[in-house]
Amino acid sequence: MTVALDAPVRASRSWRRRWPIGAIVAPVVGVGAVLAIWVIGGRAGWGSGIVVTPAEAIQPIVGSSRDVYMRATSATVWSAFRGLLIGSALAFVAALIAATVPALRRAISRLAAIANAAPWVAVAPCLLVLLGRDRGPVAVAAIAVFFFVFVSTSIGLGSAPVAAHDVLTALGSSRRVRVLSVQLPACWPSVIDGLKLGAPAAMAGAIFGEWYGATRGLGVLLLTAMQTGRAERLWAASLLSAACGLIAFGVLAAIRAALVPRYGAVITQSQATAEVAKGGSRLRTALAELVTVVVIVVLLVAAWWIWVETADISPIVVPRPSRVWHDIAGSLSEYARATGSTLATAGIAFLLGTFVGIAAAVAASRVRFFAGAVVPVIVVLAATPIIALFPLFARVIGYEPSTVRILAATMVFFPVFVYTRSGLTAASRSSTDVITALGASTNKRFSLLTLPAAVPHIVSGCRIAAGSSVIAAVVGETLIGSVGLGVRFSFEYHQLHMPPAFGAAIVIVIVSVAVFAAAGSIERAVHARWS
Amino acid sequence: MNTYNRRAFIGQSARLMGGAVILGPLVAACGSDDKKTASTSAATTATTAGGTATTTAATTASTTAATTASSVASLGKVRTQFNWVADVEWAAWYLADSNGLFTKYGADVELISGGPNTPAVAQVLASGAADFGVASDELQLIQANKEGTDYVILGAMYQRSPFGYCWLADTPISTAKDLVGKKIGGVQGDQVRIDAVFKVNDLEPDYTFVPMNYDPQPLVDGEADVITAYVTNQPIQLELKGVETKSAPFSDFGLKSYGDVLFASKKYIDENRDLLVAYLAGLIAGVKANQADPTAVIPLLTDKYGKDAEIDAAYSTAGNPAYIALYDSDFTKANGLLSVDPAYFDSDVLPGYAAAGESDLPTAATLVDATLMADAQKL
Repeated sequence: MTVALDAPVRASRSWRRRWPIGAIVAPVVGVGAVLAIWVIGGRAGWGSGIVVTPAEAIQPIVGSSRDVYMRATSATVWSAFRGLLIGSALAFVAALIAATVPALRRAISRLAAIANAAPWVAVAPCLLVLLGRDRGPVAVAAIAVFFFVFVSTSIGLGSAPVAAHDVLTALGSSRRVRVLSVQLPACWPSVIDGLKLGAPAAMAGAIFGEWYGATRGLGVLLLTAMQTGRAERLWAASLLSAACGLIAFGVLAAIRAALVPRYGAVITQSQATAEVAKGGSRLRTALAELVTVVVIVVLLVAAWWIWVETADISPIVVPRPSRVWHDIAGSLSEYARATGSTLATAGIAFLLGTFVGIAAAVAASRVRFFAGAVVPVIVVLAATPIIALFPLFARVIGYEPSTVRILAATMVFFPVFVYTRSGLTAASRSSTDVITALGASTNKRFSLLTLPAAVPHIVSGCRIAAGSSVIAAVVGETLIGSVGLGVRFSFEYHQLHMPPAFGAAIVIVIVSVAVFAAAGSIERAVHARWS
Repeated sequence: MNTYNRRAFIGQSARLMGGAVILGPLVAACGSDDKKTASTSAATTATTAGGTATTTAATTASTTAATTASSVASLGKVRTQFNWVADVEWAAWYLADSNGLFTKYGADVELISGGPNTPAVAQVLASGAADFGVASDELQLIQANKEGTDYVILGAMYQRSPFGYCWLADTPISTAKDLVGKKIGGVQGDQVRIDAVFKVNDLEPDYTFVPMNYDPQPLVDGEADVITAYVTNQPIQLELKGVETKSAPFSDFGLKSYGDVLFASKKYIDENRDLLVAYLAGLIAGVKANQADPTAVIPLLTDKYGKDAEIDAAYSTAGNPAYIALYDSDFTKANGLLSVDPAYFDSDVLPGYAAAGESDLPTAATLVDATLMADAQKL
């Protein structure tokens, strides 16, 4: 999905002061180049006519079917908005509870990670069956938002000036008072950060939910356009989705800019480093982690079982846990093979996306004009609900296994690019001054100081990207793949074979939580070494 | 929700204004069904009048007028779940709903569109979100019943399933043998039917599956030699774009099945038999209205039922006759539209699924109940 983008904005601001003309020319060149490629592609009819010119693409929106598109946009935005409100409210409360009740902190964080890792493809059909078609898109949007707001709120709550914290503690105030008087006021900019990332995610979630059955919405238009092969309609609906994501992103970025002077900027410190800083034996941490996970899993399965039994849920809607367990235990090798190929797809995508992301960020930091030209384009792309636009990309790139890898790589690219870019500005000014005064060349300074200082940031970007790569691989597989967990899920689901379908969904969750956790421990290790 | 409310409102106002009186002639005018419509209302009127026959002539007259205006009292609402987005495929429902044919027999309806990624119709019914379902063919119900549901087939919109293969006109394909070794595109899960076509023809399934998402482009681009398709849909869409194709339903390759199978759970049928008979009677009238004037449904589709799905009027106009051609069979000529033949299930349909590798297949005796449709034909 999308990731923190304040870093490039901040960086570009600093060079804008020094080079005002470039600040205008570069983005114009960048956006202009994209438009030019688009026009050429449209004229030439790339992808057997699926690429249309920008003028053709906006024709449905401004032409006779304007009303249809406006109704669809407002329906999707309304679902996304409600999802954003519900998801962020829940996330905020969860983060607040985690901050006030330390006993629950670990459990709530793990639950949030599971919610983040839950594949929409697997969850959406169940939600729609259970909540009804109208609430389905809202629910998917809420899930999509939850993790972003939870993480950012947690970071925000931990960002209060340590001095203020210490003063209150010394004065004997309770944890609750500390949270309310110091931590809560300081967390707002960070919460807005989460919302800023959550808003495009909510759009993507709402569109995704609409695929699974809605009467109205951009998701519906995307689908009908794809089926009828009407390229200009596909583009029109995609453009509207992107525009809405971008507007939401922009509005929240503006709110954040207004809040920062009032509440002070966030000292970004990941939870991971905070925990490491607290100390404690590694073995004990690992044990506590294991116990937490086991308890959560047991509780979830118990809740599932009780619910299926008491609410008399049909076995073709949600199967009993025991049947799913039998299926997994009975066909371990098939699950292993599917898991292997999903991990391979995600792994290739991860390597590709990371490589391109780091390379682009380094290029952007070395060549200012490149940064100016490319960053606006990347901001636009990052605010676009890419997962929801999979059909468009599949049509342009082709129905090939490589398409799944390329799209998953794109999802990896954004966080890596953004974090690398912010990392490249992380070297302390005094160190830079010292090494410059000692007469180091720009290249020398880069390899000795800038790049090493960026490593912890790059690793953070990779942790977020690792989770995305699995989800993106699964979504791609469901749509156009031929092997993997996503394929297993959709194949069995279409046959109404619920135990294997749910089995695949559960394995997807386990795999993405595991990948996320593994990436998290690598991140912790790197951070511990580097700080 | 809005769509439904508006529709309910229109329906209500039509009834209040004497919808049956206004719409009646309209249907009659475009229906081959003139006499039957007229005589059915007359019979309804007579029965009602008979019930109040002891009162004065004036009262009888006013009762009769009221009955004609408001149709018969509603027996309840049938929430109908389609397996696809708003499409000309559901023409009979749209016409019956718009022309008051359901309410005429005492059934209210709510029409719920599906889509390529929506949960299966069998699942929607199982969750309690709909009462009456339209499944693309029998297989989904057979599979659901194996998992523990109690679905019963009441009839079928199309006597032959439009589901089949589509290929470019210059690819030589005429029998199942020609499919051997081909790249066959379809949606995840279609493999079951593709395999079945090979197996009913005593061939080993030998093909490369190309996963697609209901977009016929891979056929045009050569990524697939053959795609699974509704012969009433993708071939026509492609033709409108200037791509010459050929297509044939799976039944032409030996895999027989009905299309858009009408079903409900046994429990629901037992509790709502009269309502369902009335509903099916309205649906039969809708089919007749569509046969009589295949263009009448197009504005309903573009401006009302499918106004948020950007319906392509050109495709709908071209596709409707293709669907209409599937309404009739020798069996329906003898037994009435929408009827299914239990004997044909046992002799042709179920053996096809057995060949596809489905085990523990039911028999028509448990899977099909043709009596409601037979009663509906008499209304």
